[in-house]
Amino acid sequence: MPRRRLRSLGTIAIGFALALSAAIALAGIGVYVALIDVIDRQVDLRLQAEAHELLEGTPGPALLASRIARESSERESADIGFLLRDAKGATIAGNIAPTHSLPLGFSTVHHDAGISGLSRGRAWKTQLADGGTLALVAESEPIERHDRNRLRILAIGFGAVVALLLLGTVALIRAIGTNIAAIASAADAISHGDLRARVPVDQPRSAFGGLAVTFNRMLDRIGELVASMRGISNDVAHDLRTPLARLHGRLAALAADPAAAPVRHELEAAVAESDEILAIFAAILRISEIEAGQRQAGFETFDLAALAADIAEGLQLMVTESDRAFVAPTAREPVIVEGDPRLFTQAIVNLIENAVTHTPPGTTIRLDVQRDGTSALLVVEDDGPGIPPNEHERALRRFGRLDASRHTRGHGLGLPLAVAVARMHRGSLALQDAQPGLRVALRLSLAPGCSS
Amino acid sequence: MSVLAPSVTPLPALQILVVEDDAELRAQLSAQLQAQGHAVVAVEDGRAAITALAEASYDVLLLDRMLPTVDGVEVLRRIRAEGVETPVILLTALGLTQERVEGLDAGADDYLVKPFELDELNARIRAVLRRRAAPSADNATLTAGDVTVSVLRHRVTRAGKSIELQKTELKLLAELVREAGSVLSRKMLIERVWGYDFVPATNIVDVHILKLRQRLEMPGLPDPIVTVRGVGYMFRA
Repeated sequence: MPRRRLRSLGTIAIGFALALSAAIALAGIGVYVALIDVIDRQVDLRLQAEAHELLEGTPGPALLASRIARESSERESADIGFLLRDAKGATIAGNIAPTHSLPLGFSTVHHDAGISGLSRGRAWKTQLADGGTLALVAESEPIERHDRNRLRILAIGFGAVVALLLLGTVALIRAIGTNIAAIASAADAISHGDLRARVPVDQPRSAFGGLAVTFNRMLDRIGELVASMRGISNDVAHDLRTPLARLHGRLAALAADPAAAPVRHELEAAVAESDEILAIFAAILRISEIEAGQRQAGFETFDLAALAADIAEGLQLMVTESDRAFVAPTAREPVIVEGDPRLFTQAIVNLIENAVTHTPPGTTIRLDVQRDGTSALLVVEDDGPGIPPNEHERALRRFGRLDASRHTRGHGLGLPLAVAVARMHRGSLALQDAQPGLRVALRLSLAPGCSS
Repeated sequence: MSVLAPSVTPLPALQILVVEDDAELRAQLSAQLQAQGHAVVAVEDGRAAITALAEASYDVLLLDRMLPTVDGVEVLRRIRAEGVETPVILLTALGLTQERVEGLDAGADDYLVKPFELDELNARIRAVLRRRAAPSADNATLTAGDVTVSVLRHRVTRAGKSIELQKTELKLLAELVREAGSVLSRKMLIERVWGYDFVPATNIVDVHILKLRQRLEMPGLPDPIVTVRGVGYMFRA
């Protein structure tokens, strides 16, 4: 299984911030534990030194008691608690009275030991030769509530680091995002036909600058390829259309010649054939023209509903005279879009002509334009035989005519042209089952500020 | 229904300058125009065209868009800048819309995509010359024979009787009446009435003409619309 890659900049940044926070938290806990350990050892050493002094020369209980009394009054060791008990457990000397007995050796005592003024400390207890015990207790917290303060200090430090980290992450996301957005916007413009779009390069030696330079170099190459493609299609069109034009001219002249009367019918059929070929050329050229995005110059803001109503008016008679019913759009409200109205005209006319050509008489053909959220939705629908869903994709391809329609009129470039027009306007075209029949749905964004 | 053979209504003899780089097309076009009685000068590139226009004056310039040395649109810009007002019909092999817009912006009177029928060219030349002679009668009431069309008021009468027409039918009739006596090709009607810059696959022009004929039909009166075979239609003047 391939490893999942993190795609979102936000996810990457948040993941990074979380991991770093966890690391800082662990470090904080480590520092805290180590700090306590260090202090404990310090206190332990002190207790041991003190005990060593007290037990110097293995004194008897009386001497030890006097030494304890002296030590507890001395400034240096006044904060140490002493407790001397005999073998029976009775207190001989000392200044503390823990509520529970302390274990032999080193141990940690808390405030529950009932030693006044002690919240946390270390204790050392030893068995004396006479069966009695000597315990020493010292605070491991030099300041009152030291533990809580320590935590607070750590929390503030940690919080500051996390806050800085978050700010840094946000700044990083912004910086990376801006650079990526510049590249994405150039790529987007290119994919919509503006081949001159490039990524701005501020510092060619930086990582993003280098990426931008590489990206621009790729765009230059794409631009060259598209230009040469365009050149080829122009050349093909020119070099083929010119001889075709000559052929067409000769055939037409022949057909008009009185001497050609016996074969006039055949000649006129030949002229019609050459007309078909030229119509295919016109359609191919128009599609390449649209796909190359050469027509962005013709963009304007216009009412698609009004345009569709106009087209319906002009085609109504043709459709009804072909024995098909036509339902024109009922313009309720303007549907304002941005684009080339001439191209939409051609796309809509093609779609309606397609519906007429590929359905039997008696079919109802419907054209409608409406707002759908923030989109404009143009629908051409018929209740004819339709196209099976598994052939929809092919029907949208250039020359992807379906077998059943191979012998009907038309060059089969109507749908591909409408697709090209939709794409050029950053819209989409979908074929749907109208149950029965075919529904062609062309969707594009409403002009900015025109969606409500 | 009246049906005329092509080119039955010849243009007056014109001085025509043809600029076309394809030798065979140039010869074909020149021969066809000369056969109609026009005086034709044919050159093969932009520079020669500019020279020719400086030396003599022409009634019409047929200018190929793609030319060696100086491009057709550039020729057009230069001669217009020099104040040459000769009517120009640009000829193109490609028919890209952007080119069309560029051509018309540069001062072309019309734009014709190759290949074209001679009759189509004749119709265009006639329309261009007519428009130059009597510019913009757009909003006036148009009259031809016994038919009157008022586009603004959406009113049509024949022999004094009012006739109801749909919007497209009225636009079509107005074009025919405005150019009465001249042949209008299907392409020209498509451009002017429907405003399409492409040729539709269906016969929308013929369907509308048929309807228009039915609507204008009156007992005892002749069909005012003449079908010119292989070209288009003409309204009787």
